[in-house]
Amino acid sequence: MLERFFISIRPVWFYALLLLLPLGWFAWGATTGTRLLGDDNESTETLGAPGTRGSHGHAGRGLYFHK
Amino acid sequence: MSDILTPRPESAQLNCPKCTAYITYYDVAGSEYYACPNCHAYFRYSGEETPKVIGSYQTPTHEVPLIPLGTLGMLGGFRWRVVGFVERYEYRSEQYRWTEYQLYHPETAEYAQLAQYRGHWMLTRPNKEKPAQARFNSRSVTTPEGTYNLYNRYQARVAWAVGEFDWDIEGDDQLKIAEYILPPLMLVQERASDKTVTWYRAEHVEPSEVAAAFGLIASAMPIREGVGAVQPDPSTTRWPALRLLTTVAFFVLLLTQIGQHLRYPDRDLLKASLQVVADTTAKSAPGTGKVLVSPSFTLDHQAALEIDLTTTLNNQWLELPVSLVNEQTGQGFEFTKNIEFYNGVEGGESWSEGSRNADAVLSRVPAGRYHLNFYPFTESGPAAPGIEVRVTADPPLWSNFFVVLLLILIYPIWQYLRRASHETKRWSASDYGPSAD
Repeated sequence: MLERFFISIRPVWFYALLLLLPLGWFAWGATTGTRLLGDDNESTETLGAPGTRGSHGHAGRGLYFHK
Repeated sequence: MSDILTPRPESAQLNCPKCTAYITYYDVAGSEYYACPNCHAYFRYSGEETPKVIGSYQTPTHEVPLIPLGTLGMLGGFRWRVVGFVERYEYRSEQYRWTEYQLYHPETAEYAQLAQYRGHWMLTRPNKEKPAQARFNSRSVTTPEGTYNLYNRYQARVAWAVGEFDWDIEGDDQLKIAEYILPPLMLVQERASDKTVTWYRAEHVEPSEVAAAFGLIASAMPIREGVGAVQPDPSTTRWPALRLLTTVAFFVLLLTQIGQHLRYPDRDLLKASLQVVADTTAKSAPGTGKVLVSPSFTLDHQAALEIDLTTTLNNQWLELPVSLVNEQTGQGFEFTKNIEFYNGVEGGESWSEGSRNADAVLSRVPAGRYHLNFYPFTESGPAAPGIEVRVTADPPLWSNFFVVLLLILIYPIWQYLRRASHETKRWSASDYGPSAD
């Protein structure tokens, strides 16, 4: 069955290899507990460990806008 | 008495009855009509009587023969010799012009036409079997290969010709022609005035194949315009494999997501209610709240944490820096949420703006014992809000699933749109396309 599958996808074998990248990225995110689009951590202290690419805009006190 | 096979002469010569130029012809037994390459007289000569001039082609040709008469070439597994060239046009739409090379197979004395229209090539041969479900005015023809759809209906005229022919090409004027396509194949139906129907089968040929077959320079080939009637979509051969692979990748993704969730189901580590209390010390700015500290909680493995905040804000804003502190290592994670919620009634209609809730996700938080510190800052005046906080470990992170799903789908979607565009362009040259009445 697996052999038939590999024969079937032969015309797109290069794309099949390429697909391993996003699937691997997803598996890495799932096993390490990482939100792939970045998380909300703003701490420079933990830059190396968890994802520190904030996905939200962060406004400090001085920038806070309200009515 | 035994049969003695007389070898068929490879070629013979005759004189044009109008200009007396020597004309070499190759189907010595079969050719009967000739167009002189010198004076362009069209005449009949069956080998016995005196050649009889029927007419003369005066119309300047739009296209000269790319493949010289007499050229031999291997195409579609057969060795062909180019023996004739005809430029035709649609009777009622003269702008539609195409050329046909008459190909002769010396070994079997069979014929084929190599047609070229706007850089698209087709090899046409007689169809030995009449399609079972074919009527003259039908919009489709069904064969064991599939359903051919009507692409064009027309009558043709000869604009210019040169070479030899085994039938009267001028007699084709009376034919009513219908073309049915199933790319890369075409069925051509020719209906004579006596209602005799003849079928031909055509197949798309790549220009590079034609060039290779007859020793032509690729750069000399006519430039392809648009999509040919039976030009196959280049992605057609890859599409079933791509569809299968995408389906498998989708289920791998889905099963990984579900498997991860079953292995580490999301669970609440902390649920607490906190009340903002104004800091009234002289050094603090108005609106500053006292630091709030949540109860401690334990994370037993590295995971993502989701922190949900639900406030009791009412017509006020709250700026809320939050720190997640590892009590054993001192490692800190920080984020700030700006929350505001306003509502009221105006002109008899109630309105609201903003939200009382906010949430944050922290990635790759190591195992350990943690608590949360809150540093609230709100406008002074209204009642200080309360905060419900909930910390969840291993949230499903569906955004990961959808981001990767999008990446997986980009190429198949692009291919799908390309296929759709190819078909749209193909049928744009037809009056009988899917969008036609």
